[in-house]
Amino acid sequence: MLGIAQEQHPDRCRLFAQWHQLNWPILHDPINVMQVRGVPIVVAIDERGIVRNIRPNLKTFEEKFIDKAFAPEGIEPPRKHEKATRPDLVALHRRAKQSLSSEAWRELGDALVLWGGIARVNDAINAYTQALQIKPGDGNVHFRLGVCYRIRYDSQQRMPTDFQTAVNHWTKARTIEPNQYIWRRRIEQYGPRLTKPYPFYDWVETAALDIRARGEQPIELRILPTGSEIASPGRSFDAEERDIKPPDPQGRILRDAQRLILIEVTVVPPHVKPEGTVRVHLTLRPNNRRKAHWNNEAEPLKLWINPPSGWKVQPKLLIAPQGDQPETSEPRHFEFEVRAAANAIGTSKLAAYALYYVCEDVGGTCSFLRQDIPITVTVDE
Amino acid sequence: MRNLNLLILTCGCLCIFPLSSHAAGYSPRVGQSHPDFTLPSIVDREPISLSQFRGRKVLLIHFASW
Repeated sequence: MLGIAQEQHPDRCRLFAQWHQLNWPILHDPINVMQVRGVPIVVAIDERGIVRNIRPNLKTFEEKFIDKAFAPEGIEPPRKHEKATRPDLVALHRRAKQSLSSEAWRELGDALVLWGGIARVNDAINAYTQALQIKPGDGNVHFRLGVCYRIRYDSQQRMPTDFQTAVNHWTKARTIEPNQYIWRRRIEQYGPRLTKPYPFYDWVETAALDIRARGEQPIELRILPTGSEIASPGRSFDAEERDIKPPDPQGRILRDAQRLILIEVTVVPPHVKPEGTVRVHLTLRPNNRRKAHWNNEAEPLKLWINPPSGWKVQPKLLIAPQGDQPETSEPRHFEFEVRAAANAIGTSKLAAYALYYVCEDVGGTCSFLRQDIPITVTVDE
Repeated sequence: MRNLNLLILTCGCLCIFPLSSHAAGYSPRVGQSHPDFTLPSIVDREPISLSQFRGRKVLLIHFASW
């Protein structure tokens, strides 16, 4: 058996394989270079590399494939172990520059992201960008660019807009080819509950418990799935109905003019129809340049969302858990969902603000501050 | 076989998609050679090709852990 995993994070698949004790090789295809349109697909291939069955019947599989001889003159002996090789990146780059074809740039981007890792992700982005300049409507390239931006977002090289840029490219790819389910699932993984076909990674915690119960150490995940990635699908939008008072109704709290906390906003999907739902991801990071950190001995971080008239939000107030030390500097993440008004059209701004206690070592002060967060949602006709 | 059953039963993405789509994409045909490919292993990122398995029957499974 040989597996090919169509997902962004390979370590999650490794954990899945460890959990189910899948002891066959599994390959990683985060950019869908195989161009499969959905999963699972099972293909039975004989000793000569000929496809004998697609989606084999499990009841007759052994008889019709395992036990059957497809080569009447005798089965070819296994070849001597021939180690597969990585592509020649220098040659691919030369070819892309000489040919000026979108396919050549795309192949260079594929090789860079698959084999160069995070060290070459910027080069992969550049190669895919070149491909798009030649052929702007290539959905494969948009999808793969999205994968690259999300890889960079999950790394130390991250730029504040990387996640939104990834979502924008995935959305563009889906617009070009709506029936490509691998592309579609990548957005749904981070999107609102109403558009989810299933919870994506809700099995991770159970898997880790089961593996520990066997006396093994579960594979450690570099990026833990949270929020939308473990949320169950929803059947209806349950707007916040409780009468909750805003934490700073008069706007009297001092603003964070020095940007001690840096805030990133990602809206998934970036645009919807009237009454459509988006999931908003907010990440708040203490500013390293100001040596800022959370003060965990005071009130916790709060987020208040005040949607425009006719819009609905769930929930309106979010409170982040405190750090486990008096002072910490970890990023903090909020997610909430917003439903556009029936008469909404064009670009709408949602008013939101965060309240936090933050300290900065440069000036040696701690303050309770507010930061207003404009969130833009585009509603198409 | 146990692994195949297990994988198909446990993958949350048990949806059926047409393979013979009009759109370009993965479309293996019974009776034809499966195109070769090289991808990194999820364990150590080392390259593995389908052609390495020539001489053995291969059950190729495209899946996702979600």
